[in-house]
Amino acid sequence: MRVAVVMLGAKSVLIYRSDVFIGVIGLALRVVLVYLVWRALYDTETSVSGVSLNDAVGYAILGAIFNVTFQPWHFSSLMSRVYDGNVVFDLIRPVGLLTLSLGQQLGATLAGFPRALIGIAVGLTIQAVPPPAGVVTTLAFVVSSLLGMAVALLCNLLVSLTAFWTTEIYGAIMVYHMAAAFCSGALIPLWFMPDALGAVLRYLPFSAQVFTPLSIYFDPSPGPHTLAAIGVQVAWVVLLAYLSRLVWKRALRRVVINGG
Amino acid sequence: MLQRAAWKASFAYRGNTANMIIGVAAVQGVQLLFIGVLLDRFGAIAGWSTPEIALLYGMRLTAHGVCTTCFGQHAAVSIMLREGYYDRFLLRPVNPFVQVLTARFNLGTLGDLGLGLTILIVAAQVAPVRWTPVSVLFLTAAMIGGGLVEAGVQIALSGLSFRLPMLSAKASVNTMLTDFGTYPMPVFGRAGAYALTFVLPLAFVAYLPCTVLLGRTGELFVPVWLAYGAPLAGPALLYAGYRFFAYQSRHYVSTGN
Amino acid sequence: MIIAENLVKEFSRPARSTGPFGGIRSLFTTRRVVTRAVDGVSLTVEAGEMVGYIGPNGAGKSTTIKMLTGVLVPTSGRIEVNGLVPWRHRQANARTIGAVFGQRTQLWQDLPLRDSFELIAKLYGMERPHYRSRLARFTELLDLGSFIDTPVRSLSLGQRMRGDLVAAMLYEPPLLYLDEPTVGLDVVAKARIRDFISFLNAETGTTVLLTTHDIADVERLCHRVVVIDGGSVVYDGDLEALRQRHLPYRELTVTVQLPFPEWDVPGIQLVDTAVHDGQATISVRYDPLRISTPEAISRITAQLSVVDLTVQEPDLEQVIHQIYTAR
Repeated sequence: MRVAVVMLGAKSVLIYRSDVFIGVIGLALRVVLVYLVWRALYDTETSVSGVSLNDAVGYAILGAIFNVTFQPWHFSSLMSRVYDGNVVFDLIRPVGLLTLSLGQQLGATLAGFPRALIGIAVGLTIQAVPPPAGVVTTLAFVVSSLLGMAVALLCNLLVSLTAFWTTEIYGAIMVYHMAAAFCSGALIPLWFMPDALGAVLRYLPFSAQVFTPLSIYFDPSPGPHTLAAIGVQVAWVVLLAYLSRLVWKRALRRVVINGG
Repeated sequence: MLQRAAWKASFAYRGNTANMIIGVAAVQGVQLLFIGVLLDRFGAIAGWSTPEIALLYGMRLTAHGVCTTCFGQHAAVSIMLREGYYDRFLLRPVNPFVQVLTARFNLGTLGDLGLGLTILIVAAQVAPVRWTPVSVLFLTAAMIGGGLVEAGVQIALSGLSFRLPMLSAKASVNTMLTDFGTYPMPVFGRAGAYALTFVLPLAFVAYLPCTVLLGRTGELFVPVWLAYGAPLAGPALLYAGYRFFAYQSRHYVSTGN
Repeated sequence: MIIAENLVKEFSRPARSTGPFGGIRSLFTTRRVVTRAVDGVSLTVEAGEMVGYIGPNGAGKSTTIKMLTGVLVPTSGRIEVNGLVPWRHRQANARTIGAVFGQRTQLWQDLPLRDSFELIAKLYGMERPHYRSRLARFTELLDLGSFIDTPVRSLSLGQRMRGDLVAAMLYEPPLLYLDEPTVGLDVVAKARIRDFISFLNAETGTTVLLTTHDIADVERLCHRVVVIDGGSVVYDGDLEALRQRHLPYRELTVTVQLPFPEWDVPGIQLVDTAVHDGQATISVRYDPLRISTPEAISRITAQLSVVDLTVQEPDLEQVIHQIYTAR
């Protein structure tokens, strides 16, 4: 039953074939451009802030791929359903609204996986992304990426739930999008940020979306700190899931008492 | 919530001014932060110093502002098509393209222009340029031309949405312009620079005229006259974009309801 | 099947300030305005009934339906639907009801109609063979075949509404709420939807609660009608009795040859006369409780040379209009 919801979410994305196609080309182009920019930035330097050229380029490419995959522009249909009132049907389903929304979001995100894999393949082929260091690293990276996705989905869900309170969220959504791109470390690794800024960003859930899995990927010696990083992600997932339930309960109360 | 249907019906791309300005500030703010962090770490980008990059950035954002204030509404075409609003434009005795552009003026787009001009003015003080009436005139022409270049590209893409349901493609070109418009073209290598000049005419928006102002035409990979003539590319590309839009609009199929 | 007693629903909203800076002032005000959308509605619907729930705009129809479906919690009063309290057992209640809100859609806009049905079948845990046979049946009855694989966004309103009806009835709920199911449809589409609803009721005994502004929907489908206005029930009963009460007379239109004698038919009053082409068309009325219609006709034909005679259907639209404006 839940699988069906996820499938539907994926299908709603894949049905726009021209969009999917252009998306793939766009991402491939972006991979190449990011690669060129970072190489030019390093110029003749071999290491900046203790990060080698190869790692920086690889990181920037993976970061771009993670960002388009985890933070699509239309990250949830919930907001539009609230606007046009069709959300009333979500309230009379034998399945909860959070399950329905998360399922569809998950499906839409999974629909972006082939594109992401193509992007990674392009990166590996032009040798802009170094291959993962070993089995342990690969495994930890995959687990951490999936957790990163969970954190992203939950953050997006929380943002879309605000539609129950106000329709004037266009600006807020833009801010959220840009904040997610920057604070998650998808544009620039937190390593390059000024120390104070980097330190703050590490305490926000955004860094658990992209920075954590990527720093695992480029970590030459995984160890207990890798597990700790994954543990932090799990903690974020639990916390955000709890928060979503709480917010939804309040939203529901608002709807059922006041009709919104 | 259940009463909000009318709201949505009023128009799908509403958004009040304050909201738009916040959104614009977020997009550009992050872009500024990004460039700032890079310059902080790397000192220069492809040999361009911070003030030079700042001038390039200010020029690109101002051109973008010209584009969104004058032609911003084209962005709503794909929504208008999907929701069936375009029909009513066809019923009126005015060119539908003009109607699209004038459907609603969004004050929020002034945010782009304001921010762009602010940065441009600040950067003009610190950048190594000797300002003369001629160079100021060139800058003005370049900004208008750059805005028209961007508008031409965007309008052509909007035209495509008559045939293909485009939800994210335009957004991705948009972010492409935002994300990569601020680098000196040599960053992208020879092939990349050619592509961003002749395939996606990004170089015409700010980079080419900027090399003229900074006296950096020596690094150009194209004939110098192209840089001096960059402002003229605007009207040409806008016209081409419009013709493409008009041609594609013949493929319009109204939605069922 | 539905028991509602003294249902009340109040909405409270922040008071809007008017005048300069009204928008900003209302951000900081704590004054709230309470409106009573539903004010003491009591309603019982038996299994298998088809009840028309009508009233002018803003009468509280949709609010009542939302309370019955469990979307809204009543401010006070008792509801029980299929033995459940809808808002308390929202998800359990959801399995036993189907709903069509004519202004909205439960279908997934981007995807073909069929995909929405597939998902609904899974959400409600339908067995595959059962789903297939039911969908095949509905496809035939509502003639969905030509557009079932078309994305919902590209459907016409009539097609979409048919899709919404199937979506609401696919999992065989015993109770169906229809909130303006024919709004904006043409005559053919309306007839098709009415036929389908009466078929559902006849074949499986589906209970139907129908709100509409099209009185013809009610006349075609419902014996019983509940009229609500200003949040309260102003009439609950037989449709025929409603007619009797508000239209205490019947009308006949008679065409007669000229000249005709002074009107003097006992028990029948002359209302209107129009002369044209050597004939006269006259309207008369009588009290059906005192004179039967055949009796009235024979009295008229006994005195006049009648060319043509029509019995006017009592106009329910007019009845409803009377009730609404009487308040």
